[in-house]
Amino acid sequence: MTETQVQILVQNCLRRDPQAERKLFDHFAPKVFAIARRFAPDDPTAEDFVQETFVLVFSKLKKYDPARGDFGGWLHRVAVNTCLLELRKMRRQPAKTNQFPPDLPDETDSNEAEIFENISENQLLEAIRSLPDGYRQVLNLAVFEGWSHRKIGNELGIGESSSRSQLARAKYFLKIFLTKSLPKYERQGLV
Amino acid sequence: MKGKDWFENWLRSKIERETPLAQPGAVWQKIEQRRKKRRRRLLFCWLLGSGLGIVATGGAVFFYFQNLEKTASAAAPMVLDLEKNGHSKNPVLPLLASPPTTNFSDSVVEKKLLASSPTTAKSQTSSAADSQFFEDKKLKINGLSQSFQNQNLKSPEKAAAQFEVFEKIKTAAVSSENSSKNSIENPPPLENWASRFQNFQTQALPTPFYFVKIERRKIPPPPDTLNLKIKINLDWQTKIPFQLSCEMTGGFGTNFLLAQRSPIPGWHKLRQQQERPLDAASAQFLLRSDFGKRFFLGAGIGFWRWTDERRASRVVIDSLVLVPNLVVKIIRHADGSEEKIVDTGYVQQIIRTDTVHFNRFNRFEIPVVVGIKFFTQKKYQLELAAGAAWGFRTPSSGWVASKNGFGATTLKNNIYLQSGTLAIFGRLNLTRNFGKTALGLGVQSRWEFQNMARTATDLVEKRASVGLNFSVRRQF
Repeated sequence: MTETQVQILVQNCLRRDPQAERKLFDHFAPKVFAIARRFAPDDPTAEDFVQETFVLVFSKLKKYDPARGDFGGWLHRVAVNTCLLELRKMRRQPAKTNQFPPDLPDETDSNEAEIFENISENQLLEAIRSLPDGYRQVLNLAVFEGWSHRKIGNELGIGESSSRSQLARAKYFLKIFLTKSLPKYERQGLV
Repeated sequence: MKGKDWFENWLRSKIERETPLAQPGAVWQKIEQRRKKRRRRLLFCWLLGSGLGIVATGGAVFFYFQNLEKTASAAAPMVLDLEKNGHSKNPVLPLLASPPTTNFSDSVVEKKLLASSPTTAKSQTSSAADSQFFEDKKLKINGLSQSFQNQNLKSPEKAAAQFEVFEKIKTAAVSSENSSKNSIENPPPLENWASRFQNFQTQALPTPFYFVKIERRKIPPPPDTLNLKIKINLDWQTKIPFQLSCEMTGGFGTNFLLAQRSPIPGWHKLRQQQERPLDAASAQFLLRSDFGKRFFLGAGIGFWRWTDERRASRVVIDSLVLVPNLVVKIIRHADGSEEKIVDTGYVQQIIRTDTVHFNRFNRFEIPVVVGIKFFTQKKYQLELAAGAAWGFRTPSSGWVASKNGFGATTLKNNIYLQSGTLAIFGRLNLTRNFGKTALGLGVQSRWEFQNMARTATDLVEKRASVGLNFSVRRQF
């Protein structure tokens, strides 16, 4: 679907055309669900996040300005913010940094690339979901959304350095979780 | 750092940008339910807010007029015929502790007492100028005092004279014909009503018999000649877009009397003399649906209030009042000199009270309105609307005078309830749209063309009003 078609759909949605709303949902729901899956601890919660996102999108659709960017980008921001808001509502506080060992490996093995090639998306997603909420949020915002640590710190209410350390620990524990499922990696003594 | 970047890039490449939902239909249904719930909540909030707004507006208007009435009461002109009494040693007396009584045998029917004038004692006079004063005021000395006046004030022993008014002051508030109206507005209670039906014989009616026959008929198919090409479009709801909104309108203007009839001509004439239409205030709350770009239809609740100003005067000749420093005796000596004897004496005082009151005529009604919009593509639109309203509760209130047990005239707030008015109204508004909200300003008018009200006095009246209005509309 081209951007022009999307804009026409948005205009029809503003006129409260039910068919246009359904088309818009069908087109953008997979993208929103992909975002929600990374933030949510499980799939049902991710579906709830999708619901919240689209309810908010349809109610705030008049605030979308086509001159400031395409609809997909606006929807992406709304989805991320909705996920953060919902996680905040779930009253899950970010994990404290001293709960995990502070020592992190500086260098990674050159064979990691070959090892991680065999990991599927579901395994990776399961590993991300197994992270503490704070780690998962920092990882999502920094790696997948490209936010700076200052912005992450402001959004989550933590310090910039805390954001950096949480990202490092998130990646560390992610590697541990992933390599535990790989006998070959374990045999090499990297864990 | 190179290794870390590699890991992040690997993470980004592994996670898909799009993941289809397992059951998109179910998720969409939940979204629809959430949105409907949200709309209902918004509608409820708007109704609640608008209702509170109507109550607040009505309360504000009510208290505004209440305060206006009090202000007018405080500023009401107080006319005393005998106020300019330069002959009294103590012209102004404090108000009597006991209720004043009137010497009139006729009952005072209706008076609006807002300001009570201070009593003014009129002392007996002893000079020619005084006599002229009483002549100017059309007063004469009663009884024995008549000779006192004729003898050119040569009988000071009759100092305790009584004065009476020669002619009734043109207030018309005091007349015998009005007493009948008083009894009609306040009918006596119906007593012993059960005894009136003693001779009424009840008759047993036969048990009704019903026969019901159920017949099945086969509807014959229409002939081919009637097979016209009529296409019924059942999708009209989707073809004609409509938008729901709530609208609140407040108005203020003036009212005027279209017709007024009463079977009591004297009372009616008196009322017409006293009444003057003053203003009109209104508030309406409508649920409105805009069909297409041009037309709209609405219904809701409304409130109208008309106010009349009523002015009346009351004259009371009070009983004897003890007055100090009264010239009770004048002794004229042989050398022509006069000697005045001053003592405490009794005089009769005359009180005239001018009153101002505001009568309220309220209409709680259900309006239905249809309208058309012009310049729909512009920010400023012109809306022409007209409709009808049925008044389901139309109370009126006003002060009515009556006599108390002591024979004095008292006032009481008489509220009578009318019902069943039918009115038409119209308005022309210039509206400005702000997204889902629109503000309007315009003129409105209302004509009450059918009044089915039946009051205790059988008063039938029709009124109209013209004024400005201000409206706020919000789409759901």
